Amino acid sequence: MERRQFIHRLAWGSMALGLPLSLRSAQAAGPNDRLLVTFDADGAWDPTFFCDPHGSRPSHTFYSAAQILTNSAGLTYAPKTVSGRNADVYRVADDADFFAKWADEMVVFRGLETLTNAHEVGVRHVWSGFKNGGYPSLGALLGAVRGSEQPMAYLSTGGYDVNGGLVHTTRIGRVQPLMAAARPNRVALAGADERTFHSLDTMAAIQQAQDQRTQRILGQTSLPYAEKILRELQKSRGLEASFTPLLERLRSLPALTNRQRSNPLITQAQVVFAALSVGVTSAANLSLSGFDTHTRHDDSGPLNGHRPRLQELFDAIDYLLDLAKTEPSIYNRLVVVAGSDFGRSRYNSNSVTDRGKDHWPITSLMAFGPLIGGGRVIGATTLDDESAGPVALPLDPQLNVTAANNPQGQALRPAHIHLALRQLLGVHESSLAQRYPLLREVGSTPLPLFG
Amino acid sequence: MIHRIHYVPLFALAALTVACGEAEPSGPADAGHATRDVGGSDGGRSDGGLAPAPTCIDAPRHLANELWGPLLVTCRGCHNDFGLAVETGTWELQWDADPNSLATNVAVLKAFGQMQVSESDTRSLLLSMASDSIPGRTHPGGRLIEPGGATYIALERLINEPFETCEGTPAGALFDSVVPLEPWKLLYKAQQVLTGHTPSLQALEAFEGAGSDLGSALDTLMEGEDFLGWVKATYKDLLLTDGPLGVNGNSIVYTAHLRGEEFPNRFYFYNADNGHPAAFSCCRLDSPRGCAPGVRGCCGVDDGSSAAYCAAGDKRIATDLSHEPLELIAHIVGNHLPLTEILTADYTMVNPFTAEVYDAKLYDESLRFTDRMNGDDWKPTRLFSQQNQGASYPAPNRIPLAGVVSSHAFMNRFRTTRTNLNRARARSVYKRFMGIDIGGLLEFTVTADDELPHNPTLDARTCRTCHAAMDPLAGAFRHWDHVGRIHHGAFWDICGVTDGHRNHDDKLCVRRTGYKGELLDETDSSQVNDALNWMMQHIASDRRFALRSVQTLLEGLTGIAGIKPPQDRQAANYDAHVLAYLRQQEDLANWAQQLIATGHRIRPLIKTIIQSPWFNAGQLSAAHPETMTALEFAQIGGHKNLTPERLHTRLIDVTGFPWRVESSVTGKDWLLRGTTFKILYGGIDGESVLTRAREPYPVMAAVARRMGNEMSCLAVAQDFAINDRSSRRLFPHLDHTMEPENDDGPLDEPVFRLNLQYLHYHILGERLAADSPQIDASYALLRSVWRRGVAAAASPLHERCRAVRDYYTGDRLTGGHTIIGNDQRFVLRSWMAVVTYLLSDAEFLLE
Repeated sequence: MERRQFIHRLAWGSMALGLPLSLRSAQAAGPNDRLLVTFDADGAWDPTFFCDPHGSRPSHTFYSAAQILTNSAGLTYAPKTVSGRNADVYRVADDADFFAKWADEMVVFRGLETLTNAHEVGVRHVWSGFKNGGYPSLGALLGAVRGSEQPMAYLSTGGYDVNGGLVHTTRIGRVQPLMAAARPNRVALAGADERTFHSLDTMAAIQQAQDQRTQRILGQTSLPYAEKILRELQKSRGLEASFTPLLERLRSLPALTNRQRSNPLITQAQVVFAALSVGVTSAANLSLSGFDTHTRHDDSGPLNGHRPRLQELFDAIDYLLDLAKTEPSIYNRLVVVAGSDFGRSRYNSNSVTDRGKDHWPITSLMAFGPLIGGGRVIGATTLDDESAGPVALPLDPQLNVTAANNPQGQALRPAHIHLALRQLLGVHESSLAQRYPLLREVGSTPLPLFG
Repeated sequence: MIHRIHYVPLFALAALTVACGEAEPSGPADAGHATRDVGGSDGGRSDGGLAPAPTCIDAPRHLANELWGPLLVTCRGCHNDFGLAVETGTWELQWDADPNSLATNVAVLKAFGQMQVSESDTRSLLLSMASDSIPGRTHPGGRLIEPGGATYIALERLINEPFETCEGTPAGALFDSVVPLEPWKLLYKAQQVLTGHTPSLQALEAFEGAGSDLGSALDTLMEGEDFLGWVKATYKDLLLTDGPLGVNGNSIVYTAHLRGEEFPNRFYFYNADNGHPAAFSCCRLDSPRGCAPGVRGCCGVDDGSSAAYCAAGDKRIATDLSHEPLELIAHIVGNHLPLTEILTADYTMVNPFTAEVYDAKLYDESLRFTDRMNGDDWKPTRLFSQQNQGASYPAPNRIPLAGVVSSHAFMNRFRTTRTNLNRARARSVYKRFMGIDIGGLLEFTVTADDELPHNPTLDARTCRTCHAAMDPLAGAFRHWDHVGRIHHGAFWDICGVTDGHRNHDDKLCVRRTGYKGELLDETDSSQVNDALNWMMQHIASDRRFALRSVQTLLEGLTGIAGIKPPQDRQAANYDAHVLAYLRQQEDLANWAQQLIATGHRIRPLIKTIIQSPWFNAGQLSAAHPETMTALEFAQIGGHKNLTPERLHTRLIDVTGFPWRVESSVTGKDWLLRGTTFKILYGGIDGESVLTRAREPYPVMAAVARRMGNEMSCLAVAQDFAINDRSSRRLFPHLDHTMEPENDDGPLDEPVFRLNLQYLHYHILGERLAADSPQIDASYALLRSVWRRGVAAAASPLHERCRAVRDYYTGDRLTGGHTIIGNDQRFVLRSWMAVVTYLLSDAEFLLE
């Protein structure tokens, strides 16, 4: 397996200086506001290996047409492995078939045109809806609209999490350091010992003294950037108390199994869920790398290959959805989206053990949750063995696959998805969404992707 | 069916329509814009009126304000001197590297603009091509401007109209109102940044007594090892050496990426005694050589090396290999060599461990390490292959190195594939050493049903723009494979079929290895075998290398990144943004010239940057609303978060102790590991988190709060425990038995204020009068905390905050120390509150 070289994450802070305060969100997150978690399969996944199967195409896939499976919603999907006539699936918790388990709460988009083969362009097109750069990720947009008073309005573990200066991107990793940061005055990092470094009164006195000192310094500072930073620090300090409920929620979650603990995406999903649950976050982006398999695409070893990465991804999505279901007030507001830079081409070598797949501009995207109108497939592709990769078929305004010469037919693009998601998430009419328009990307006709 | 690409110049329109949602603006806004040029009024600019209408507009200013971002940044994607324009022989724009680049570009555009389309069509060729309006002739870059639109008119004006002559440069006055720091404060800041330490008050007084000669002071600072540590840290962010395999990475995988035929000792340190499974011990991995009797084999197994040496090597080899390019840079800077050698050095650096892996001592008799356990002892050496290739290498068996780009770390961090053919590495060289983002040269679309010519990288309009730049450079990496193994002959040569690997470009190659039109002589075997070094010589001598280097140093000193030119003229604060961009470009270009003039020695340049307003900004002399926004864009004054690494060093400098988990000497460093606070505090991992977060946010503030609490708990008691006050870092003026007040009021107030003055200087770099408001506030905090603590009959002092044992040795504190096991009168905890207050203050956390 080949790793992708690197991920661009632009420092847009200086570019956003011009954003007047009036355009920043003045909204605080409300109890009915919808929530977003994106799973970024970083490096370009291969939909023919799971949700857009094309069997009996030995130049592209390893399974036959007869080995393609179908779930209760009519979604066809590829097996994970085949051995003789037997095919196995991507199994998640309780040994369940991932695509069977979430059949009714999943929408699969096939034939999504990313219009690029370049990683940086692909990730920003898929995750912002706009190919040419300058737009924040959807999660950052939602965090900015909803999360003005949230200390971690937008969480991310990497990937395309450009925030456009609209909202801070809080990077999360493991649970333990976050818990330590969330309890800065507690001496012991774990256990029942609740002793603190300072008494509560002392902490309050320190914080008050700091606030007053910062005000004095602000009064003396005339450099505009320095003033901006001091105010950011002051505001950041004011939000520290919000971490306490996060910590309590994290500690209340069921312990992870060994298998779950070995999947970093799952430990991160724990933090995300806890943050959503206590209202300190509106959106999160979880990124898993390792999909840029220009070699050893079919390898099933733990360090290489496409399918182990897909398994990790599905395990994490399954975990998050299961966890969210234990708290209906969260689950019923949650939208989960899984996507990737673009797709992958035919095999690039005749060596079965070594062959990889190169970049291909057609991909798929999946959405999950109770709000998306699950149990549907939107879009389609065709593929023959001589093709370089799957070819997307146009859709008519009713989301039916239509002929290429239908004047009402159009290619499914990320902008379609983002317009629909913005509406689903309730931010499509916000001033920030207006600042980053997408309608012109798809002509004038958005598609009713989520009803 | 072949993969087909269709060119759609969406980017060109998008670049002009990000905010306004339409093609070139026309109508009232456009008319307003046009009249701005003529009447000097700012009718059409949407910057809130913050930027004044300039009183003098010459051609360079006009180009900078109206054309550079909105149009010419797009044009230069093709019209540059290193890519497509060289290949096609068309005109070239100069990229920012020269102080006169604006004027040069004016001249180029005027000359090309005044050419006619044909004898019968007298329209401007430039305007007609850019608007793609010549019948029968297509502009490969598409329709970039609309006739009659604002940008068209601006370009037309540049070509045809005379301009006045103005004094100075377009952004030369931007920093006129900036008041520099006091000399002592500048030295304090510079020393902190360059060395991680701050000057003592005595050192400052000596500095002031000697006339505040900053130049000499900086010269002294830049001769120490700490300065080289800063150099390494700066370039580590550029080279991303920490990920994915370096530093605590998988050593076996990393060394397996060295070719056994070249370096048969690569697995030297892996033996079963060090816990490696037998299958992964060096004897198995390179069997049978490693196990042959009489032949050097596994460390400690066959050659009798000491167990400690073997265990140390086993543990650190990945980290050492990943640090090799940084040590090379440190060696070059430390020996006052030209910075260009970071690309052109035909040697590398080894320490006692990596020298073993490379078997370097076989070929370099001068390579002697006095202490083979000292992994910090790095020496320069050439590398030689043990595979006898005869005349295939420039010197018998010498590995043809080229500075950092031929290092194992670089090759593994920036990998390639058999279909990528080193283009990704070429792109990295462009970005990291030339400041050119190949991916940003051009925007284009790729759809599945478009036509592609037979050789797309050569003949497809959009593909060739980037490939014209990348491929000639990529060819220089021909000897290295995807994981940096060097091969005899060209391994993945873009222009050929080699070693049996089928290349995608298996057509007649017409894009040879070269740079800016100068080609590698493929008939000269010495040149071919040293292709990478040949290429890096060219790169290093390019002015853009100097420009990128000064940008790297500016960012290392201030945290200020390169400002990109704004492309949307309708964006809010466009003028201010342009001004900041221009000023940065002017300074960078001048500094690049200075760097070249000094033979690429960086110390004079560092002194220049430190004394420039980018670093040396205290206040503004007067409120200038029209330039405030530009100054904010420029971010002068710094005030960026300390990086986790710098904060870690700073804490040791101030308190004498590192910040570790549970304040344990064996604990992990909180700020240096991705599994602890490094990423949470805005750091990078070199793998997927590549951009530092340098502005405050809530989680960062929480981490800082924890740090203040933990470090005060550890450091206060430990410091007070030292009997000799003059040896203390925090409390040289009083003892922990001294209470701040009694029923009658303050006690020993002058002494308390004196120590508070000392703490404010030592931690925050503030020189304050004893009765200043800041000292008043700290004193008030101390007394209020003490008063409350005594009245509350507080609980016993937490054992972590006591001073019973030496932090480093774990021995019980004895002679010269007083054990502090309790705090019944709450004096310790009062000082802990003050130290927490200071350690989590903005002046400590921000640069």
